[in-house]
Amino acid sequence: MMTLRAAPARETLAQPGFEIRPSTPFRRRFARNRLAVIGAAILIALILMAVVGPFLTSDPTQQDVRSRLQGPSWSHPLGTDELGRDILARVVSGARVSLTAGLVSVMIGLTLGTLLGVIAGYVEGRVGLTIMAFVDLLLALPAILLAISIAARLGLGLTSAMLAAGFVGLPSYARLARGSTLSIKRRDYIEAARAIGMSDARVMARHILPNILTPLIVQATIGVGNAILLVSAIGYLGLGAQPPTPEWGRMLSDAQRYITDAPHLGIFPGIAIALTVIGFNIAGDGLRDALDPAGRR
Amino acid sequence: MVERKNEILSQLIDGVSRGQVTRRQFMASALRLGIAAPVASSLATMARRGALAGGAGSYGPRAYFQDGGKTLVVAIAQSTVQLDPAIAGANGYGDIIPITGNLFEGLTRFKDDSAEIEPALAESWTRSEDGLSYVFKIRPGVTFHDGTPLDAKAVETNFLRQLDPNHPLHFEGITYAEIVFAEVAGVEATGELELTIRLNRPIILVPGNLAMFAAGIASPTALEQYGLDFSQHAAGTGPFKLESWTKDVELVFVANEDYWGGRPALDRVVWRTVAEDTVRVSELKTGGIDIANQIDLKDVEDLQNDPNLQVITGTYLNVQFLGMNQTIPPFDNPKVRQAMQYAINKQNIADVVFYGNYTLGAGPIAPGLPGYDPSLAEVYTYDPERAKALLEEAGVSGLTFDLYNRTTSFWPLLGQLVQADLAAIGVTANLVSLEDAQFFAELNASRAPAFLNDWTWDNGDPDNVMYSLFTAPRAKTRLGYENPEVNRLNLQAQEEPDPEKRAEIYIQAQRLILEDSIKVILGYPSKAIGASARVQNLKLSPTGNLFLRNVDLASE
Repeated sequence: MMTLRAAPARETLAQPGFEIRPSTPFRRRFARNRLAVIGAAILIALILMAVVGPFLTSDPTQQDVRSRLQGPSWSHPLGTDELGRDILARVVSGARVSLTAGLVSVMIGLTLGTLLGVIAGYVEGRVGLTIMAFVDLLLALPAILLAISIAARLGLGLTSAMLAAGFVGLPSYARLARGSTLSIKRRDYIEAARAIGMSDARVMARHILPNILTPLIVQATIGVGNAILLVSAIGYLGLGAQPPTPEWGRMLSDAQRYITDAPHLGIFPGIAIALTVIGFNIAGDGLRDALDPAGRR
Repeated sequence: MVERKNEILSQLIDGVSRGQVTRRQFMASALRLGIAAPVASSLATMARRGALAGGAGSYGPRAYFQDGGKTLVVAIAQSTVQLDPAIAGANGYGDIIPITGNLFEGLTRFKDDSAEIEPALAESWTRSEDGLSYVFKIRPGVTFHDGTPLDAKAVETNFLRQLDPNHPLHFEGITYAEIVFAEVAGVEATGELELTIRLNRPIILVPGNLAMFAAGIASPTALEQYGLDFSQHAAGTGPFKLESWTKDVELVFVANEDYWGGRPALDRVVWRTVAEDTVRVSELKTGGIDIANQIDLKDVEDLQNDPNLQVITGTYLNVQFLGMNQTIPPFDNPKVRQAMQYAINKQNIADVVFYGNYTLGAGPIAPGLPGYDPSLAEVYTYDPERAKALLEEAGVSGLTFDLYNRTTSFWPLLGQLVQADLAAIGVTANLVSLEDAQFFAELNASRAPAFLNDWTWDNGDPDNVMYSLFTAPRAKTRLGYENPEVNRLNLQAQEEPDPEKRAEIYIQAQRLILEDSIKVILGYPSKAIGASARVQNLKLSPTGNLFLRNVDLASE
């Protein structure tokens, strides 16, 4: 059979030899995947919670030691913690902290990783190898160790945790970007762009980057979940956000002391972390399926 | 149910790692499982609570020793990084204090339930007329665990290795000599069984100092033979001998058949490191351990209500405080320091953190010691309005500073209470929570403007806080503090043999320290040990030791 090969300005990563059929629109393909829809619903709920939630709940740092360690009730739907703070308010504000942390660290990893990956793929040779050697070096560092050393340099706090999570994610974006760049750099339209005298930087920015973005975005969606998990882990170790900032990982570690007398202290932030990570993961998977040309039926 | 769930989960994980289950299938299955998780864990908690009342002690570590001996299993919070009594471990001396008194003994020792001194490896001692020398009569017929006989020369070697940095047995980490051998000018074996200690000043603290853990006498033969590897072959004269040691995990002692004080009732002691307070308590409830050293005070009531368990409490010589470094702004301003004193609600700390097992702070000297004066609590009372007024007088507003705190146990909770109290007077305290090693490094490098910390008396004498914290070089590095009058009083008290006059001097010095307001004395926590009801004669030692020489275990 004859292979049709289009050369559009924007090309999804079509496998060579694949036959293009009229495809269902992206939205319908995504909607058909029930799991992905659940994921998306979780994320929308989470974002709403992070944006408007804190206006609806009480102050998450307000202590009321007389009513501490109380179970769920009408005035405190998720109960109160060891200092009498409203757990609902803390979980809701924690969504803002965690989402911000997840997004910022993914932005750090995605931006730097893509930049390095595209350059490494496009230039190849010694420069490319050096860049990839550096990226592989990062990959070899355990995430928590990296977080501890960054915290030691920059001091404790959310910024250090976000930087650490960003650097941990960087290699996956860099490798993906490099691989995709390598696979399209010999295409005719790239050659054409170079033939008309476009500078390398412009070729990378205008022609390569837009065409490799899709898999990176999918990776980034799943990456947000992982980054949130890592930021929580760093918080759990006491290296992340400092009290009284309501951060889920920190809440979990503080709850440990009361695990037998007041398990609700740990259950709710735990559920919040789990749901968020699951949400990003299955939404990311759905996104990939919906965008994957091999999956178009 | 929990087990079944774990089984499904581990099958799933295996499946993923073998490639039989895709990540997506894993997510979907895990999600279904995940919805059940919170319900399952609360059910499990409830079930465990109900089941515990009847089922404790049915299984446990005694299974590892089938020889029928009396084995006591003790869980301690600290990990043991080495066993040389003279050396500070990673956790300062905290990691050997609870255990060391069972393996090593000094010339003197503490009674097992008070800070009172009694003879140990010295039968008796005399102080010279001028107070400048002490003569100790060494107990005859004592041998170390490795068979080496104890004589004055052995004691001399132990002391000189700490005093003389060029001594061949002076190992890295011997840092407590300045306290144990304060004002010691020389040590000499003046007979087969007679040791003379000469002093620079006639201080009366020598017998107490020599009861401290760091003055424990180790076999000189073992020290010479094994050098830095001593910990694996530790030999002292104590009621128990080292059998085996897995660094950071487990330490096994066996009874010393030849102990000079009579063979202990226990045959074997297993020390396990269980860092988490909650885990120690739950292991105690399930019968996994016999003694949980240092339990969270919130669990006291719960354990007391369990007929299979007992809680041992008693005087514990410990003081908690908020320290301020007066060389670092804003604490160079005395008014700001005083504002802190009025701002902190100590009663709140007692209720929330220690469940009432707490004496509110007065002066730096804790209850149970000469010089403790409850009236010093009146110097500063809880008065946030007054604190605000003081800040206004000082002309500061929007005050912000870093408050260094520790990450272990109750410290994060205490830190947040203090933080909220300060927020109430318009002061922002940013908590900087650090692991112990890093925390003390920052303090000793004079980098912490303010910090929360505590001090446990090692020698059962007020001097251990008054001199060590307010006169010694530590006062300068940690607090930037130097008050000549306080120094004079502390030195004078070291030489005052009359206990009443000494107490007077210390009260005077404490007033000056409070006036300078370099520390907010938060209070003195109690300490509690949880134990199985079968454990007999266990006492709480005020200096943090866990002495097992008189402990017995009733048969089941």
